Amino acid sequence: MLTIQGLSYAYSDRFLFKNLSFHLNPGEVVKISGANGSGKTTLIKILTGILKNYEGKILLDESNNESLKNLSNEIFYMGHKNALKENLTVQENLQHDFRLINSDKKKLESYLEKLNLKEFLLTKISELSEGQKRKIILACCLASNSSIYLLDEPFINLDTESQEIIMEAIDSKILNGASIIFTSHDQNIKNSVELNLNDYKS
Amino acid sequence: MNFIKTFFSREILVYSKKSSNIISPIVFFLICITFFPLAVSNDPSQLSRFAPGIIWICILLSGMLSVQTIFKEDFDDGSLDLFYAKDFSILQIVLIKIIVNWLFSALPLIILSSSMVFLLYFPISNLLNLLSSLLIGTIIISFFGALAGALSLGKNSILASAIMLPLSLPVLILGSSASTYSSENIGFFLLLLLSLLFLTIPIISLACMGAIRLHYE
Repeated sequence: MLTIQGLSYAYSDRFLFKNLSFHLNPGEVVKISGANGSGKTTLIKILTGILKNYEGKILLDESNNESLKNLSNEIFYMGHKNALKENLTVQENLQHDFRLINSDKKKLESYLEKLNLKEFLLTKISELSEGQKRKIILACCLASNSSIYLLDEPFINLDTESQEIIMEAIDSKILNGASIIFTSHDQNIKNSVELNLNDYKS
Repeated sequence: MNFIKTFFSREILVYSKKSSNIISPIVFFLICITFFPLAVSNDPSQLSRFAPGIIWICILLSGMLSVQTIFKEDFDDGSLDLFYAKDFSILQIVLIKIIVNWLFSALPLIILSSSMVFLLYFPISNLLNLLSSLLIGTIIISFFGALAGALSLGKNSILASAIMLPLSLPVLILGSSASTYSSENIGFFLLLLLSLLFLTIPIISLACMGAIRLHYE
């Protein structure tokens, strides 16, 4: 489905990673790990098409697409930052969230309920904790019908109960053929293949 | 989901919920325009002569407060990342953000200036000239401010002012001239302002797109 061939990225004349290659099939999970500053967020941004000045090839379904642009509606991107408007309420943010383009509204409501967010729908984002903000994006992620999920530190600031709910939902997405690439220092998703960026320094 | 409609309504909502975006330029404008007669002169004939220039300077400085940070919030909170990831048109985003910013920060100042001109003994016969020049000129200034904001993303606001002020000089000169001269000459200055507007919109929009992209290279 997705093949990365000889991917290299340099920042200020220093290679963050060099000759990175891997393959991702439907229903597979790749965990990107590595030390701080090893390029985990950069790799996710390259795959989403945000960063373009890289070397190497990103092939999708055997055709060279340079990035996953042609499938931008099939991709769910969760960045390091939440892209939520602090002075709007949770509900207002969700009404204007472009991540929900390809998603199931009923599923979203159900995950908001499971993650204890329903009672905060009319609360401003600025009044929520970092963990609650992350859970809003994860609820969008779980409600999405995308086929590829690019998640940057998805489990950061989450409580154990929420992590369990999310892991369970992610497992069922994988069973249904979704592919996931995520970055994390400590958390893991069942059956994920680990790719340590420290091994691609030079 | 219609992207333009949703993005426009989101911007309107963000601006309407952030009162500082509207109040700060208005308060600054009121302070500026009230202080000029106190500092310069209280002679009606002198004030009346300087009025167009004073109003234009006050509007330019007040407008600078919000337009320079036009892309900052979206850059800081990761919204711009999301727009690139979703492959949305950055040109449409730039244009919508400038329009909404103008509606919320420049338009109230134009309306307010029509009532504040009396403080400067500005002749009522020239009011329409002033308002027409402000209407066109503030749109051009908003585009220049957006470019300054795009170039100075992640940097301090002094850089944005340093970029915006020299760019705004022709608008300031043409705008205050259009408000000063008699109605026979107004057409010429307004025509020049309009020409500048039609040149500015495509060139500066594309420049803004490029400037934002630079921060992702």
